[in-house]
Amino acid sequence: MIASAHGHLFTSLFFFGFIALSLGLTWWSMRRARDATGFFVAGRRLTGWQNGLAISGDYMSAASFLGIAGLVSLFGYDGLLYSFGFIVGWVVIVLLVAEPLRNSGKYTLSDVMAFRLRARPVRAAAAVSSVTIGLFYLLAQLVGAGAIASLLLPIPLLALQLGGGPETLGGEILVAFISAVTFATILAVVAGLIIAAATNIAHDVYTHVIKAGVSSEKIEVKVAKVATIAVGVAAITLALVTKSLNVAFLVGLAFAVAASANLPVILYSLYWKRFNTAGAVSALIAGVASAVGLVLAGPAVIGPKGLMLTDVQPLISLINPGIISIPIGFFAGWLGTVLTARELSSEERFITLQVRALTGFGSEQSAKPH
Amino acid sequence: MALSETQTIPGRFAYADASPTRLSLADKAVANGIVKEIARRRVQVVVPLFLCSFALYVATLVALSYFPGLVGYKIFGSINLAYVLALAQFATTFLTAFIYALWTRRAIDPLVADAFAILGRAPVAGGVR
Repeated sequence: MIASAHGHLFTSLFFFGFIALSLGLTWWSMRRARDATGFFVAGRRLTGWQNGLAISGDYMSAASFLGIAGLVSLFGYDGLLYSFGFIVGWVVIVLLVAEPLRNSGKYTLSDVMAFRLRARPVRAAAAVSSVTIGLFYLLAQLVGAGAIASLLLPIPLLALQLGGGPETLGGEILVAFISAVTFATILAVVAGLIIAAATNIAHDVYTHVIKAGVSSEKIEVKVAKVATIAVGVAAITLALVTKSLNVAFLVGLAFAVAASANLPVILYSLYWKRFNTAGAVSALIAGVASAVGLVLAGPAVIGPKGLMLTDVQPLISLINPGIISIPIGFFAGWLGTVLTARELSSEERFITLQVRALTGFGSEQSAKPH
Repeated sequence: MALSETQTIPGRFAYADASPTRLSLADKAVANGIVKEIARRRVQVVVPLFLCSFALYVATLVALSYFPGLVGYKIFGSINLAYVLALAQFATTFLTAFIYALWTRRAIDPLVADAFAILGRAPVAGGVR
């Protein structure tokens, strides 16, 4: 009894300590970041190492941190296989995408697409896909976070035993530490996702689609702040509504939409001269529609293990639509391009884009040399 | 006059074309050559690196799915091939990133500096639309 009271005390102390630390950091960085660059990309002051740590934090989500651990404990080696995909994805990012993308963009992925393609249709379509990805992923994280929080209250036995048993101080401290770390990782992911979605809404939808590029950075930051609250409230409301449902498939869906819609457009924009606006819009629409559509027709939504129509057989047996929807996205991008007329401005700008992507000449400068 | 400045050199890559508008034709030709060389070197190194790590990934999945006997082969004590393959996946990603970082520093960064020196002679055109 006394041990459990101690446990609650430590857990609460660590928890509130972490929350205070996070809020303190937020306040400190908020004071440093008054303009748009400060708000969206930390004033371009992050070094390579700092940015690497931030990206790692984004990856250590409820899905990977606890999902992979859970898969391994349930399925052993077969569960570990799932994590291979995450790590192999980094090879594509580091070799093909990261450097050209950083050199070419300003705040969002759509900047790279809009650099050579017609800005409004491409930004509108890309924003739909990016905000879809963000919302699905946020929802899964928040529902996961709720599940973890409810698990943490009755003290996890493994941590207690590792720490030396339920009656010892070591056990209590370990539990408190693990819950605080879990909380911090989820906080990092949720913050990253909300910032990404808010940036898409403010920078792409508001400034470039609604205002056709005529807006000030000050207003853009204001819109982003409102969007941050709106996205947060929407995600929390959805998470509260769906908390009793099994929404684990949303993580896979978020990744599938990203790979089927955004990835083809990014790769074509960076490496294919002939690529045009029609191709980009086709790839984005086909990618989002096929990924979401296949999930709606699959066993995660329909059928005995799904969310609805439990007496009907699912139309396809795949939980994750990627293996079909990713080729569809790439194919749609190619088909949309070759079926429509050549876009001379896109091909001309491709040359500028290559200079910029390969050398970094003309790209946004870091505030700190590294 | 404006036309000649934005014209491409026949038969050559027109990379540096659209960036600085007031660049002499000679400078433009050198800048074109540098950017073309960067693109060529990237293809030479990035593509094989990517194919190697991706091949290992696919081969691992195929081996685990269709050759359970093979991956169950114990190499040392209770450590079997599947265990080594799993570690190799993670090791390969880190190794690839390490090789890429070392290689860009040695083979690409000097060329980028050269390109900056030439392109920097004219004001930057373009930017994010």
